[in-house]
Amino acid sequence: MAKMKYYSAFGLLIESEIELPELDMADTSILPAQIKINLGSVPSTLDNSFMKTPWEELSQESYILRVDGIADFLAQNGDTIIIEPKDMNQLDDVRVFLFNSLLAQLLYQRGILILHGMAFLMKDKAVLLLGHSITGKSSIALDLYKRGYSVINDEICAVVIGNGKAEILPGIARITVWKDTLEKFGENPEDYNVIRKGFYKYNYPVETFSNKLIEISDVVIMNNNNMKDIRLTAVLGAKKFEKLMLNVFRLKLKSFDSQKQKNYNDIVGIASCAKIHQLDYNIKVHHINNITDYILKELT
Amino acid sequence: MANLIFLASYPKSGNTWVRTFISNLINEKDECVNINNLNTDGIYSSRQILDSVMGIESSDLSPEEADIQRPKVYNHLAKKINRNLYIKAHDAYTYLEDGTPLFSTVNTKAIYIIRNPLDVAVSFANHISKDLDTSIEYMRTPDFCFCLNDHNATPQLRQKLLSWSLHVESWVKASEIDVHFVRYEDMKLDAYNTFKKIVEFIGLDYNETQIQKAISKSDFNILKEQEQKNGFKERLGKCNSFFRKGEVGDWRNHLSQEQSAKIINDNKEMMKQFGYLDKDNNPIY
Repeated sequence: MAKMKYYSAFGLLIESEIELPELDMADTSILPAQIKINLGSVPSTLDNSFMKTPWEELSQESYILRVDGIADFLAQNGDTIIIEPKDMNQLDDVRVFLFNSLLAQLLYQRGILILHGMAFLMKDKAVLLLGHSITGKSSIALDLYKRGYSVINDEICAVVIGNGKAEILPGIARITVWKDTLEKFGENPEDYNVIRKGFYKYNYPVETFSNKLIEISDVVIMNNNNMKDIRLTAVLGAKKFEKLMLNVFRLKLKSFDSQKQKNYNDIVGIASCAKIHQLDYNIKVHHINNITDYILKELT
Repeated sequence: MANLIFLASYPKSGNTWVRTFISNLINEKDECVNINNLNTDGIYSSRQILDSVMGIESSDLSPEEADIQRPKVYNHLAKKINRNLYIKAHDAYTYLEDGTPLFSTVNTKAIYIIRNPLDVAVSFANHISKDLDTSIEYMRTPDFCFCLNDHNATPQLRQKLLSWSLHVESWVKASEIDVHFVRYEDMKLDAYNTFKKIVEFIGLDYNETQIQKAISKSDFNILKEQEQKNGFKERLGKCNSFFRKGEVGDWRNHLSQEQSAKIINDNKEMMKQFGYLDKDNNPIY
């Protein structure tokens, strides 16, 4: 029987058959684990699935992700992940997809809302920067970290609503950044591990956060466009809901009724508890440090 | 029947013009469509579409891995569509290692827009904010790509453009889908008949008045004015304006004899095939 390893992320204890070096090791005295990750066979199809493509399949309790040449994954009941790698020597590749789509789906199964973005700590509260891929979020995260701000999450933000507060669960203590970005910030890429062999995208470890929930004060919706100036404007009224909905991570994956309703309620919760802003900028023109300067100036 | 229609071209060959025309045609409103909100359906190299369909980040895939998924994703979409999808593309029509076309083929056809490479060279130089020699060099590079940088996040997937001639030739030889070829110069000099053929190829049912109206609303000066007023999201960072002059034969005001001779020499065969050179290899436009 494989020797199990224990980790923590998103406030949960994870028991894993494979090593997950990007996660914090956990104290096994607080067993049992809330999430179990095992190697095994992923079924060719799910019973009662209501969404099926060559890449994904979704039922009320289960989610399958198939990544060509890498692995098939199954997330089930909010507590189990089964991985069927194509090549046991390429588990680095497997973790790339495990930490993104799979973990997000598992958290959805646990009733946790996932927003697409990064989060950092400002005046003991969380500020979320939300946006689709390639909008500069991770570069800004690295810039903020270099300036002494704590980075809570990169890529997926796990949000819970309760007691009149919107709060975020600290995730994986890392930022994933490209070679050019590392070099721009004076780092030597050779000091860091690539996320996949042959890639120039790196895991940049950041200081570990505690597992406690952090209240969200502000949410900034990143709107990369062709404007000449950087501009932060308040989002008001029903627009708040609309803009937040557009930044729910992989929205299609949670189209079943009960979860859909819960996500709507959670979005309304964030819209009423936190200040929502839109940041207009042009990633092709504005330097990352200017964007970071602007965000910090406007939110201070 | 609904189709996936690729609007394919080498950059700066009139692709946006055709997309604006189609948008104005199907929009059927009196006002001109906003160039930043066209009624077409994105670009074939879009990461967002791939990410959304596959449920993963395409930036976590190598360019080769992403290329394998592109036809699969669009074939999957094409089986489910209930209206035409109009997808811009700058990729050459290439094949994957296993012989599968890079482009989807299910319920798919393509309109290929071609422009005199002498004019393309000038417009392309403005687009990429480089000098004319660099533009000409890119156009003759057999493995030229957009978004090739693997040291940084690229906004779009890697696109193999190849040289200008190889790009054109790749689409001429595309055998898996029906391709309609349109010359930029004909859109300028014989607009109604040229756009009418586009409408017929797509399989749309619009009359002369409607087509003429869509042509008028897609006039180059309107597009340029919109860009000056509100910007254009497809303009590259350092380029001052996406819509420059749009004239046929403007190369004569910009290219040296040596530069034009180089372009003609590089692209003689395709230029002749598409009527850009006479029998003595002199430019027609």
